[in-house]
Amino acid sequence: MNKRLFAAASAAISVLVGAAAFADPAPATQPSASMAPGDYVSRAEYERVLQNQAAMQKQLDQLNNQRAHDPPGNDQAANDELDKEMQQLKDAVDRYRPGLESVVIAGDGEVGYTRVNHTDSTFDAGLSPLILWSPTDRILIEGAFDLGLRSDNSGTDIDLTLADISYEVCDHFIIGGGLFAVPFGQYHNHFDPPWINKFPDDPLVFGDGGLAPGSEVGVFGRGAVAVGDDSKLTYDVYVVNGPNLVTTDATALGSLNFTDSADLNDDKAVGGRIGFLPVPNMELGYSLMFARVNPDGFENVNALLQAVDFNYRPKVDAIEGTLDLRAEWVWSNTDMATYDSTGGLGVGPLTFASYSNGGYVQACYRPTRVSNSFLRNLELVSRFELLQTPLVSPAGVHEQRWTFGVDYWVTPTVVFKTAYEIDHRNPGPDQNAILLQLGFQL
Amino acid sequence: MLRITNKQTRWAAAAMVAAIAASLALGGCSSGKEQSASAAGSTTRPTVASGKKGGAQLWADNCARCHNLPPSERYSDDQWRTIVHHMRLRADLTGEEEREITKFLQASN
Repeated sequence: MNKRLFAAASAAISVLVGAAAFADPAPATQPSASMAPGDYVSRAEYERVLQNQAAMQKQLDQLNNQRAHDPPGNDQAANDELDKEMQQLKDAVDRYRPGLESVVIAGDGEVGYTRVNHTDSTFDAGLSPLILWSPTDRILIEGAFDLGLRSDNSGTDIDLTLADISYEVCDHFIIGGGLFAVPFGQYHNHFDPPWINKFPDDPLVFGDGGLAPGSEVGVFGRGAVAVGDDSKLTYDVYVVNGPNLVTTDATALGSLNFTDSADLNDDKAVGGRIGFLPVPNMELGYSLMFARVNPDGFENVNALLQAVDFNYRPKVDAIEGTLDLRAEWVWSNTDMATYDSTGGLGVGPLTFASYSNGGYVQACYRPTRVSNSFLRNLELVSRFELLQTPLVSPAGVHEQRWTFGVDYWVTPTVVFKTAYEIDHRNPGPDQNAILLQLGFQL
Repeated sequence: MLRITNKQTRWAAAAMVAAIAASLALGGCSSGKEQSASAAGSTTRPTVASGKKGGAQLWADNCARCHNLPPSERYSDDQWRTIVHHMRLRADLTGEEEREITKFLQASN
């Protein structure tokens, strides 16, 4: 019986061992049921493994400790160093470029349509390229000209409007000379490019036949200084050829010609402007120009021009947009003089002193904070203007004009403008007008 | 009707000259262009002195009063330097304002 039991037990063990031999091996981390006695880890080996683990833990702790004590900006410092090296490399490359990197061709242009009462409607177009070159940090050379179509279909007008060089003496003082935009008021200096002007045309007082100079030939000094954290004082002074008194054109006797750059006498015009910015986005200014304006051989006639200007551009939450408020007024006084004393022009003799004044007040609103992008690009514009010159003069006029319009900003530097003008003139018929214009920056 | 006498003209001119002298006295007459040039390359990001306005704020205060910002990527760093130099004459910026606005535009292009 015992022998049979032993034989059955041996057979069962053989079957189990054979099955184990054909089965999948157990995972290494699991103790094997069939592990031979020689596979056991000895105490010494176990201790060695523990020592190795302790040594690795120590190294890991040391590394963590080292990282914890590193300055936090080390990565930033490395990035800055890389940026610095890249900038130096870029500067080195720039030094070998052919000198054109500091040249900029900019400017502006326009395409317009005008329909004025009692005259034929017309399209017009113009370009005003502006060339800038800054050969050194302190020197700037400016050149600009107007290209436009003549209204009598006789060709193209080219007018040089800027040709000057300036030098930065210090942070608060720049000197220069040439043909430059006279800082008389703000319109010609800041607002007249078609992509900046909110209206398709110039204000009467700054347009053709107006009372203010545009560009003049001479020398200038200008600068600005901060007053406190938010205020600033600006100044401009200049000596230029100045305006010329019209004495030979029967239709404009006694008015000032600002377009001829050559002087008609040996005296020069002096002038300047003081500006004050009490808070950001607001500027107040006062301008002055004094000149002897008579041609040689005519009696001495002095002219005094003055202007005040204001502009302010606040954001107003209550109307979800931005207001743009501008106003300028010009006074032009010339001494008493006798024109066409011989009657050769057919209108004289005429004796008068010219006291003229004019200006504009404009208010514009753009809903810059509404979510609708179409509405956000619209701007509602309105302007009131007045121009009064002596009616005793053949060129004298009293004109009042209201302009209302809507602008659409296609891009930040391209604007399509529509406007309607309600005009009252004395003498002459009212000149109500419809104006369209696409103004753009080059 | 406004009539200005020679006496008033002289007063106006004197006030203007006094204001200019006061401006120069307040601001002194040093240029930051040398420091700016020597510091070029120290960083590619605008840095602003403590308590001073950054270029973006100065742009909003001075330039946005008249016009929108042209796309900054339209011009290279050197061209922005030239353009802001031009605008310094037009808008009567100080030298410091010119440098900060230039940095802002160069960092944006």
